[in-house]
Amino acid sequence: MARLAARLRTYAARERLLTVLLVAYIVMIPLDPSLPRRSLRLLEPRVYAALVALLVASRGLELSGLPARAASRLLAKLRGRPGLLYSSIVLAAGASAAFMTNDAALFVYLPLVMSVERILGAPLTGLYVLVALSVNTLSMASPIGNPQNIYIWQHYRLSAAEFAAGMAPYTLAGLGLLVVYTALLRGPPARAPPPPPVRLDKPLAAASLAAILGVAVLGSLGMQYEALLLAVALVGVARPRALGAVDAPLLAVFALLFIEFGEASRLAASHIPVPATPMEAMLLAAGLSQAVSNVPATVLLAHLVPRRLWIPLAVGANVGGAGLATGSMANLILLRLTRVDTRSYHRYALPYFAALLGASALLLALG
Amino acid sequence: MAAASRAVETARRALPYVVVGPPIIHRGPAGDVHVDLPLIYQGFALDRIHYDPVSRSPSPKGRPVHAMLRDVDPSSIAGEAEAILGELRVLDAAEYRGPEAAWAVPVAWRSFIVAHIKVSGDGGEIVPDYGLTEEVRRLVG
Repeated sequence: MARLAARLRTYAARERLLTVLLVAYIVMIPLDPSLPRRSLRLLEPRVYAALVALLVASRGLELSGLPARAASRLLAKLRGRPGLLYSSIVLAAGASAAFMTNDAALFVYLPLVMSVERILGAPLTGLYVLVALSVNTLSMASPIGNPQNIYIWQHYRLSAAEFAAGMAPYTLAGLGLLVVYTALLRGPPARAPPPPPVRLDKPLAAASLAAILGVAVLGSLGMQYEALLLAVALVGVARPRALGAVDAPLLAVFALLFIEFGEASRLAASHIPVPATPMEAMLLAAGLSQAVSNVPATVLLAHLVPRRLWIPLAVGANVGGAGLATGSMANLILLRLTRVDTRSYHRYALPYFAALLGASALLLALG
Repeated sequence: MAAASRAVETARRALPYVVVGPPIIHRGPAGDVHVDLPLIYQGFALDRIHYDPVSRSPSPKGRPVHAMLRDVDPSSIAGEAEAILGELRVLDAAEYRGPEAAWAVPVAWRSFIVAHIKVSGDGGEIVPDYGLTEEVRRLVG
């Protein structure tokens, strides 16, 4: 018994967010005994199925070694030209995020920057932060770029093309800012020989790319369960271990987030002013993201914001991810994986956030 | 055995790009603490170095240290991990592992082996430790 308690304590300490959400769910039940009965509806099973399908496909792609080889090739080709290398890393990380989610892209590109930092022997704090800002910003380009986009895409029943077209002006504004920021980064050329490649698992890479494409197409057609089946079948047949590598506690975290913030939205409906204009929706989403992170903010607001305001909601949630460290899970990965501290992160991120929010507000006002 | 030489050369070229991931701290039922330092290459874990939190140095591969300590601060290990990394060197021989169709190239710290870097059978590509990669990912994600 004591051993079980010790194991549970260790697990709870390791999975802090899951534990907090689980405790919150249990606490909510006496306040509303109908919650367990309504949980399945609050989960929005179709939206959740699309999210799980994408996380399976994205994990398969990451494990295949394909993104790591692409990143490593950048380093091999450009290691003698630091300015170009830094810009390419930042932009490639953001472009990858649009296809494989922001968190997965971070797990590929942050270790690459760590390697560059090691061979240069100089700190690259600015580059680390720009990689995080890039995956948060450029992932807004596609409905499969991050969890809040998947949620909005599915919740409002948009097509992938409609989503991408709606977000394009804001993504381009973010891209412009990133180019300006990266142009300011300087460093010495690396003198180490080119790095050897990581083994490429070709069947897994092909299956995962096909699964990502399938999720985008089937998700747009409202066939979310079929998308999930396809992703599991393709990745599972290519390499069964890749299915086991899908982050199960993270899936549970998303399920509880959907349920609890969906419920919070219902309870708060009479207390929160429902945004009436695009500007209000964007600012509310960006602001709320600073307090509770952008995925919970999106779930909470999507139940209140009408369909005609999905673009400002998506823009606010995505721009909000580039603000305070709490704005996005990707920022927390940056702080845990590297030696960048919160203060250094904010020194780079907050001016960027202010500029991107201003540019987005201007685009909204013009549009 | 040109592939063996090639595998050693590949491991040697990879080593400058290897970084140390977040320390993995296991706590045993008897209150003992066991620390591993994962070696990370291009986002994949390659192997773990056993770390002795009392002597603050690596322990030979195959001899993990179970220290009776109340707690270990991961941030305090980071500086030492960097120093250890700087002293690693790839040895000039490789062992072939049939089931994995890969070469295991030993990596030494001072006088003993602390880890292996696995390289594909043709000697050209780094082979990750997928299980350890998952373990590290769970620590961070």
